[in-house]
Amino acid sequence: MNRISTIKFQQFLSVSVSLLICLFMTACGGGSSSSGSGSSSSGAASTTKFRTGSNVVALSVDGGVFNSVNAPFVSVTVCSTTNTSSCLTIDHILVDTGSVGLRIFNQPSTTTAALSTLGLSAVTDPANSANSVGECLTFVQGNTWGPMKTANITIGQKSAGNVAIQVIDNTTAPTYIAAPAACTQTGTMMNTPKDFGANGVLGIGLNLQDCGALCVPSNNSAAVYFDCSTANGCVNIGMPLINQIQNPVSQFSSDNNGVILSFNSVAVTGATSVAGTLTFGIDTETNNASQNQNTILADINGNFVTTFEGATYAGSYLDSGSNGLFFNPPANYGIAICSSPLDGFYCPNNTENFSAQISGQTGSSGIATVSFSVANTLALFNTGNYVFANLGGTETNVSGQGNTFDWGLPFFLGRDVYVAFEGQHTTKATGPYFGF
Amino acid sequence: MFKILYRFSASQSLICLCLLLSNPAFAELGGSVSKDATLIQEQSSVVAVDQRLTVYQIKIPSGTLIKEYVNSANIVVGVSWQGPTLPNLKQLLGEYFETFANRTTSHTTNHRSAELRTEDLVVQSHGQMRNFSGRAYLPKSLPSGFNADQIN
Repeated sequence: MNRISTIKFQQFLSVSVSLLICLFMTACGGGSSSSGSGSSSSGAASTTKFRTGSNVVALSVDGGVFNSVNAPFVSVTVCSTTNTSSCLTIDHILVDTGSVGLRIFNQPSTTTAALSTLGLSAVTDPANSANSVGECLTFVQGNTWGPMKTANITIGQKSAGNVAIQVIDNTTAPTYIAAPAACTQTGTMMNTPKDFGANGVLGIGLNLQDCGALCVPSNNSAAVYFDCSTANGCVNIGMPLINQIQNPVSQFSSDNNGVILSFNSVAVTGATSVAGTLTFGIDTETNNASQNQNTILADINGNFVTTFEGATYAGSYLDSGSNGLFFNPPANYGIAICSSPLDGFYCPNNTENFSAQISGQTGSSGIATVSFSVANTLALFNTGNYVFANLGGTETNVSGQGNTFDWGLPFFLGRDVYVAFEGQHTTKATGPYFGF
Repeated sequence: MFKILYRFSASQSLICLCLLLSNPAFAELGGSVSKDATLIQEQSSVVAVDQRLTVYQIKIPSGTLIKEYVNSANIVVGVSWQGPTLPNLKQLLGEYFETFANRTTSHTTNHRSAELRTEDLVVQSHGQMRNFSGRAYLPKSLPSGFNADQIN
């Protein structure tokens, strides 16, 4: 399952050490700033310092524990709501603008203690308080399964109380030992941090809930929320929006309308690690005021429109949880695809340089032109680096809602990316929107 | 329970009726088309008269649309899906599910993309909560000259 089998442990150590050094230096390679200039922006490096303040937390793209390429990580502290000194800080949680909610593996790979030792309170079924609630959340790579719990959480210096989270755990007897069939039939189960490539995920996407309206009706077939009891096992249930797992940032008492992700840029051959910041709130403090960024309003699915080489991708999104730029060029355009085990990544002989246009729903601020490159994935991985601005791969163009252009982490490097949550107000517009 | 999306023409009905009578309950890649699937006209599936794949369609209760591409021997050689939830891939991929599930993945951190490409099987699955799409097909079972991108 490992991303790069050729990466040696020694390299991993050197990455870790350099990251530590980096974190303790204030002038750590500059930073990124708003890169939007009128209606166009590019992936070029900018050198403004990172934001600082009580609403800013450090991120790192450093390969993590499992040699994960282009994966941004943060540390999160989780405490019991009933015994507030019972806490655990978990590092290498994936920062993901493509999902919503905080999910942490019961046994993180880098902590001795398990979350089960904290005494977190169970979430009970709103329709039957005798029973607890389990969740199955689908990621394309696999599903996460485990009980919902309430916790007090702290990210950087920001805290929120009584936040519903998912503890990914298939070991709690008797109820959660086996995920229900409705959960396992859609894919593999991600039961350990190694399966997921991180100790958990901090989902801070455009939506306020992880499932939304799809999961509300009692007769829904989403197979996300389950009433779990010893007598009946785990049964699919409807879940009111207010009881679903919420966007964690929306649970802060302030700076809760969105986030800004900022990362340094990297050279064409990549870097062993890159520093970044996650800033909470948009236009709520002096340090998160809107600049001259493009504002790309998203549709109900969080999508906007990309046009590229004459093709239209109406199902496009920005996603820090995707490690590459995933798109299919127009028919017959042809970018060579890598052979196994790099299935789905591009391996052109020479780096391809492209330009695309991004536009949002009505009310967006114009059309942004974005430059990007796709290099040979095998050559990139052979550098032993963990961060690449030019990693790309294929998408699935299935008719229905329009083709997808998945702008993953490479898009975020050297930029400020604003993520304004649905229905939340900012100076520029009301969410959901992406700004950059 | 399943929504019928297209009406049959007279000639199509004959073909479809035969298939329905002989079908098992489960659709599988490499097996027979789902008994609940509806025959549709999809011009993109036709490259030549003798290279035609017949296309069937099912909408599952979550709203996800599944298409099944059937060759002249009534074998499902391709499937695609698009919608708010992933379909039952164990059922849809049949004997190929385990091959896909046990693939050697080279990108564990990419939670929006899963892909397998071998001489015998191609599976592409992409998307995020509320919006998934993907397809799977058997390259060796496609008609000669058939462009696999038409499985969409």
